Amino acid sequence: MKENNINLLFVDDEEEFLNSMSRRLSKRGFNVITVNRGEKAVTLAKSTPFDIAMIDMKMPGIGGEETLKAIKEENKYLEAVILSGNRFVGDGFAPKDSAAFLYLQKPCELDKILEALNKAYQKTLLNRKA
Amino acid sequence: MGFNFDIDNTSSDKESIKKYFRELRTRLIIWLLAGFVVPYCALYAYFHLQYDYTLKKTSKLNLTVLAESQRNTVDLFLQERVVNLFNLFHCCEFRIFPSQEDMDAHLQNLRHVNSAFVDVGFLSSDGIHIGYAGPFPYLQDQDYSGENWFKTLMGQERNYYISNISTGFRDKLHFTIAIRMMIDNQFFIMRSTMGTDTFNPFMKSAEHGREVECSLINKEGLYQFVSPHRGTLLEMSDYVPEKTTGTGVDLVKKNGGATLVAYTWLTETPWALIVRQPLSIVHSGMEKARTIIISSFIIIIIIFVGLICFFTTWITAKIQAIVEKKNELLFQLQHSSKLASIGKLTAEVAHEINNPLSIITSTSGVIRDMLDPEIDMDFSGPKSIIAELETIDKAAFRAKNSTMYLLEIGHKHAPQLTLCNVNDILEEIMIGLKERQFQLDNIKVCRNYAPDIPEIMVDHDLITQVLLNLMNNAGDSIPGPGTITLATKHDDEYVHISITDTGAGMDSKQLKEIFNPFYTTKEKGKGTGLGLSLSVDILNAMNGKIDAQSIKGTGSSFTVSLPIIRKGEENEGKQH
Ligand SMILES: [Mg+2]
Repeated sequence: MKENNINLLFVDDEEEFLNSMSRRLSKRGFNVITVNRGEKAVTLAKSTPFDIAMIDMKMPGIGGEETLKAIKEENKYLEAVILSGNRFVGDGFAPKDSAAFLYLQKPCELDKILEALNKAYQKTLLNRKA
Repeated sequence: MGFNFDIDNTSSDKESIKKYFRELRTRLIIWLLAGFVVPYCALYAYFHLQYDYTLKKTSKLNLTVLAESQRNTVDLFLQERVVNLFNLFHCCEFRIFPSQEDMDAHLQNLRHVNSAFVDVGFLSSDGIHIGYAGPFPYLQDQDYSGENWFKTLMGQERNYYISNISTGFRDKLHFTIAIRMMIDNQFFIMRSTMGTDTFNPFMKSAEHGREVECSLINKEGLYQFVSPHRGTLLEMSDYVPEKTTGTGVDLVKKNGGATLVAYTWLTETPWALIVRQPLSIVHSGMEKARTIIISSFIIIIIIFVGLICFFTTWITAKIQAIVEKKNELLFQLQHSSKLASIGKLTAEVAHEINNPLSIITSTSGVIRDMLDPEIDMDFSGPKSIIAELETIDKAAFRAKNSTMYLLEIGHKHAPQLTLCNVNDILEEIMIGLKERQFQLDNIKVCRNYAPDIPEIMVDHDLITQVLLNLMNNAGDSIPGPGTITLATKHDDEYVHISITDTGAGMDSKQLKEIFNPFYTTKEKGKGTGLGLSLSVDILNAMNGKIDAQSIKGTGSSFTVSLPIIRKGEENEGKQH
């Protein structure tokens, strides 16, 4: 309904979180596609040109980092935010060896998520121009 | 997690180590002393007795030898005097009816040979003194036929006779040497007397420097020669040998002092030569040696005891220090193992709390969006809000499960046996944390519980700890997707819980070592190698056991067996 909706791929094994968060994000300018497994996300990314991704770190099957690396093979301009339940203290830039643009700690305020997603989107746009 | 089992015992461990080493030291010292000092004492006593015996024997022998050599001197002296008298028959002055000049010449001859000759007399066979020269001229014509010596000489086979000391026909003590000679089928007797001081010179020379005392006694025990301070001549000797021939030695105790007495009978006349030596002098050399030996023995014993005590104390202190250090290290490792486990646990629990929290915040955000007129969220009245609230409640209780589990694991108390169902314990662990964790690691959990499993008396928390540790190990051993099978069964005596994984497995060499402390197959930093060894301790304390089977590349299976304790056996079980 909004103009220039951002295509967001949202991957998390927690179905309730996936459901509620996607509903909130879709009211805030995102075109959210949700999947609960990394493998499904990789398959989906092959057919759909996503702008950004938000991926859970720990999932059954392939984890967040691995999923992201596989997606980036299909979509090299895509930037992503990784959500983690326990790994990192505090939010901020992802570690150097990570494929992610930013890391966020669960649970996270909506504003922070929006800010991170927007930053990631800006980066994607920059990637495309370059 | 919750290694309260061992760590709390550390201070009492230290005490028991100290006590053990104190006892060890005492035992070592006692045995070393017993093993060393006792044989040494026995050896010493043997040598001492042997030495004593030999020395006494030697001193007796010495005194006997002295007595015999002195006797030989006396015998020889007497033989010579006898020969001197016989010689008179062969000299030129000899006549059957001697004049006074002849007799004087005889005396002069004798005295020329030996000054001990006092006089000389010549007797016919009827005992009449027919010639005499010497200081007692009244003895001329004296009739000796009634005298003992004369009768003996004439009656015996031997042609000479040496008398005991007596006064005879004069007032001066003397002894007589008489010889008989057959001339023209008729006996003639030559006799001479000798003074009592005859033996003085060579007796004194024998005594000189030896602290011995020589005397002569006759058959009746009367002194024939004696030193003035022991007695007078013809007095009864204080010692008379029992034997009347040969040689002997005796120990005489008298007036508080013991004396060694050697005697030997003369061959020329029935006299005994007696040599006395006070025992204190006999043994004076031995006493000196004995003092040296005893004092050196005591010094050596003191040195031995000192060395044994010192080295035993030193060595046990060294070993004790090593053991204490090792124990301290073990304690630290157990502590770090506990910390490592706590680290793993906190990460898992944080994950399991943060996920429900994120569901709660996002779902409450949805409700907020529904109530916000600016946001066009689908809203169909209170029904849709209640649906969201249910999601929140569900997430909140899910978080509670994790914290409950955490509280239970961290709860510290002494081992407490309660009736437990092992199926329930396994499920508590699975629902609390592990199942979700395994799901994240692509591990499928199969349950194969015996429904009729009997309840057993165990410490709930400690068994949880053991099983959780086994599940962690099983999970860690599976690198990719895999299966963990939890199974329970029982026989008459035991309840068996097996945890089987489809992980990396172990070879037989690894399998032998896994229950040893500090052995780990995990990569560095992941495991301390104490989990299984602590599990063994915990199970031993409950009379349980643990077995492992593994095939490299296929997987491992650990089976925990716990005894079924029925009512009435509970007390017995609790003692262990
Ligand atoms: Mg997750």
